[in-house]
Amino acid sequence: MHATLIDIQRAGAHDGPGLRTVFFFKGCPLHCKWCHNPEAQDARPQLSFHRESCMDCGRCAAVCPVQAHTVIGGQHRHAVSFDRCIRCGRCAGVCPSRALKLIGASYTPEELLKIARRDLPFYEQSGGGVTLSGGEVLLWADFAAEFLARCRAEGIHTCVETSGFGTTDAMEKLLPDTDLFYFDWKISSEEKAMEYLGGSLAPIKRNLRLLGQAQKNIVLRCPIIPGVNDDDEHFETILHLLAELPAIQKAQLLPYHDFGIGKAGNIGTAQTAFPVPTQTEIDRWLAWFGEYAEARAKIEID
Amino acid sequence: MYQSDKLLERELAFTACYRENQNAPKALRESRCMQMQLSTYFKEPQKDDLIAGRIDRPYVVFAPCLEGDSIDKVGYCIDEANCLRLADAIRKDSAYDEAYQNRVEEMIAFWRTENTNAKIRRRFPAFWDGSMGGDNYFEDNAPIHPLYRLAGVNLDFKKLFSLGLMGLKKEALSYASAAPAKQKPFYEGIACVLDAIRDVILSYREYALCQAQQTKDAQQTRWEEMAAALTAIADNPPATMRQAIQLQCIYMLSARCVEIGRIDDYMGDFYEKDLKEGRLSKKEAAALLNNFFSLIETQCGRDTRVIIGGLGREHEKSADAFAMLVMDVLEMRRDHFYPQISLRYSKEMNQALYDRALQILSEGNTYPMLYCDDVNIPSVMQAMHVDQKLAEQYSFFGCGEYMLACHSIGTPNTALNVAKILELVLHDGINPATGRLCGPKAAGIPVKGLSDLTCFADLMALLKEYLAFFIDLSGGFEELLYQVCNEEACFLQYSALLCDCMARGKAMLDGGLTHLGGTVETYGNVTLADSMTAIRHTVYDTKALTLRQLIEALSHNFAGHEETHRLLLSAPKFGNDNDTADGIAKELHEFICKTIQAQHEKRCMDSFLAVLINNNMNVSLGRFVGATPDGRRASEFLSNGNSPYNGQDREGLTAMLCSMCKMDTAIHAGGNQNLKVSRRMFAGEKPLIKPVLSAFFAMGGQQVNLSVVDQKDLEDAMEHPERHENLVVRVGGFTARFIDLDKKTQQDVLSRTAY
Repeated sequence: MHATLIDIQRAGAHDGPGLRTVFFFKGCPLHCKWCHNPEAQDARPQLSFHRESCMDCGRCAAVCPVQAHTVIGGQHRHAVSFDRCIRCGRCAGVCPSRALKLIGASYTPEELLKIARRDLPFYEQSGGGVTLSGGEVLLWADFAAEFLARCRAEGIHTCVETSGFGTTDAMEKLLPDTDLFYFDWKISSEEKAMEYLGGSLAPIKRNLRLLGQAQKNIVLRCPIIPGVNDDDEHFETILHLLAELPAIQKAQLLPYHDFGIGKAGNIGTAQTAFPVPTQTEIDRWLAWFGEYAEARAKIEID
Repeated sequence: MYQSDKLLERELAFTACYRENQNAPKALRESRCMQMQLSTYFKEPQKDDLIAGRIDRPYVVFAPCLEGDSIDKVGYCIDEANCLRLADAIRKDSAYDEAYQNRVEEMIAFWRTENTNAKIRRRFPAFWDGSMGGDNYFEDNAPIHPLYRLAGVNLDFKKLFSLGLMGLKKEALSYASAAPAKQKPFYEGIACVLDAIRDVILSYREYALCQAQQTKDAQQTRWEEMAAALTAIADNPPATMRQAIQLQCIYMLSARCVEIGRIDDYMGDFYEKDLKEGRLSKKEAAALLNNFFSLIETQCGRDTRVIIGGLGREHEKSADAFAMLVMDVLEMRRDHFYPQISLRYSKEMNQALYDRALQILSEGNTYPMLYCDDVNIPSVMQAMHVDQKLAEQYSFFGCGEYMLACHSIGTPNTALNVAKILELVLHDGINPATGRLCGPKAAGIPVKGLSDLTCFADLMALLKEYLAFFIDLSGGFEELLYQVCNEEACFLQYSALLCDCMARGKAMLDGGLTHLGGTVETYGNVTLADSMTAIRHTVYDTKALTLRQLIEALSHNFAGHEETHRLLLSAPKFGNDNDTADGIAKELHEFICKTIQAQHEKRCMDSFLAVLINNNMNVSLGRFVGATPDGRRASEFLSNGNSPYNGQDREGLTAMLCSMCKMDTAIHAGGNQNLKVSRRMFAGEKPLIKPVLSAFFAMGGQQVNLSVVDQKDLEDAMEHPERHENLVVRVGGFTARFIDLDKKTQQDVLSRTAY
């Protein structure tokens, strides 16, 4: 059994309790306009080109079977035609400066486990563990279920970060061996969901209820994008969810940042820029929630 | 107190004394010289001193280690530059007659050949020519430098306190009466020096009594208390903390011993008794200790360490109480960098002590440095071949070299620049900076040339031959230095308080020490390892380059070879839990450490060990190394201690710590780990720093120098130094004010990854 991952980060301090190894799975059925891991949307391996690292040496052009690379005179001579690329990775293999990379490597659960085990002493001491993130883990439900079970068997704490956009069947597979869910709540109206996420809220709501009913530990993760979801309607829904589902321990507000734009450029796509919130705006959100005693203790900025 | 209006008068007297006794047994000569030296060595206390003990060092002295003429000196030393300066002033001053001028000139000429450093250098074997570097490692471009000193001694202050000066003298004399004739001078010399120290105590007492008569109120009380303590210790063992500190201070300064060592072990009982009997409040104790630390800091100048916590302390409860006092004083002394305070941690330790240490660190102090007993004690047992009881007395000095408190010496007497050695290998033994042959070929030992190499294993084998050659020089120099020092002197004040010199009737270097150790300062170890990894990766594995092309790029400092530079930079690096890079680092680490360790048999020492040294010499020695295959540019700083090269640890904190833990700690005498963390590691209800350190220590982490800094502060401090006068950082083995560092060292600190 294999899964494709974009990255594995060790010593993560923001994706669950303690120090964690975070596994980023590749592929996501949603296309959130502010996605901060755009390279994780496409489930297949794909080429990334980091302009600043390129030396225009032309080795890529020499090995490319489809002429996706052209190196002509002048500054920034090397250009990549992403639409031609067949994701063979030959160019990345010969790139001396690692400007070209094939994002997406294939792993077995055992291989991931080996990486996780390296930090066991840190998990033990800090109450940490592994976090499966993405992309969308639900796309890899069978693989994830297997990996989670094996982590659990070794006493490693498990966390899944999900948009909730997937089938009930997939979510049910993750239930038994996940200690904690980081569940995205990005938007509260169906209309906006279709516009900004590229998908319906229905499966997300259904999966959140499923976790709530199963009394799993849930942390609600709410990216707040000025002008999109920093409004009463969305905030009220978050409040409402906190009240309705006691399994939700807390809701973390994640102020929008624009790191995704550069990464989108590296893979030959473009991303909309939203205004980055100021501290004053963030304080205003907190003040809004601060009005509600029952929410105050459960809302935090991450 | 000594006063004279004649320049170099006491140096002349010392020289005359030496010449009169030139053919006397070395112990007697030394004791007579020391008597003369101590009679002019001390000066009056300053207004606020609670403890007496300030020195005015002459330019001709006997000492185990001191600086002069920009180098370290050992034994009979002359600070020639200062003597020449004064000789010049004497010539121009009509108050001095011609005979005096001549005596001064003759004195300088006499010591030029008679000083111990010169005697050592004269005995260098011929085959070291071209390979052993010059004495001044700040100026001479070489892979190895001699360091002339006997450093890193933790004296047995418990013994001093239990016997007192005169009790110690009595012991020496009682041994003398039963000793064979040839050992008698050793004991008599000790007795004589102890008398000379007593004279210092008495003259301070006179001074204090005199001051008490001339002052009033609080000042008068202070002088009276000082006089009372001095009266008590002149003939009796100390009975209070004040008396003990007073005695220790004068003894240390007399002996030019700079190491305070395990003070909580030997001072805890005095402190507890004083508190219990109402003789001293905590505040008064802190003031005394602070004054003592200041005196050692200002009068000794460098390297001094205080060690608190750890196994092997006699009365743990009182020792812990004293360790807490040390940390209170540490907080009072935020702006002082000496003594370097270090805490020995263990899983079972008093948590209150550990928590207090972390709290102090979280406030931006760079002390205490943390040493893990759970790792160090078994490591020391193996590295030094000693039992657990003795290993529990491991202690460290200067930049972190281990020795055994009260039982051994661990002086590093050579600085070995292993990155420079690779540069020689890549130039067939020619130092590209000087154009001269250096290393095995210069000594006539046939080794392969670059053109003979067919695979990476060949290159590795050749590198090891070069390393082994220079390591042999290290061992040879240590042996030679100990030998000449032993021929010249007994180092009586040291021998009196080091086990088992008295009982054996032998000086410390003459078979008196329980454990005769030595160390080698190694620099650029990770730069070397990363360089070898980069060569293997680019030349032999991916074959992206030939070795010749790589060397060509190095010789141009990568100018016009940007592609090669990037290739080299993108090769795996130590510090990322990468098995390839860490594997090569581990192989070289083990080779260097074990080859050094193996020298101890050849050199008749109980141990001879590497230290992965940690001070800012990685910056100064880096100036002499051209571009290296890891992608480091010419003259840039080398790697520091056992830490990854700056900014090359990219896989996160845990990966870096995992890499560090792969290095065997049981084959050397100390490796330093720098960890730059941000304040957020200490934030929240369950600060991450604690589990990180616990896991690191549990995995075999030996030691850590924590710097809690905000990266933005450092960047801003480079731009606006005036706004950051108080920003203190850890630079290898030393703590420094960031704005005082040179730009290169600032960049070194800034470029280390912060977690």
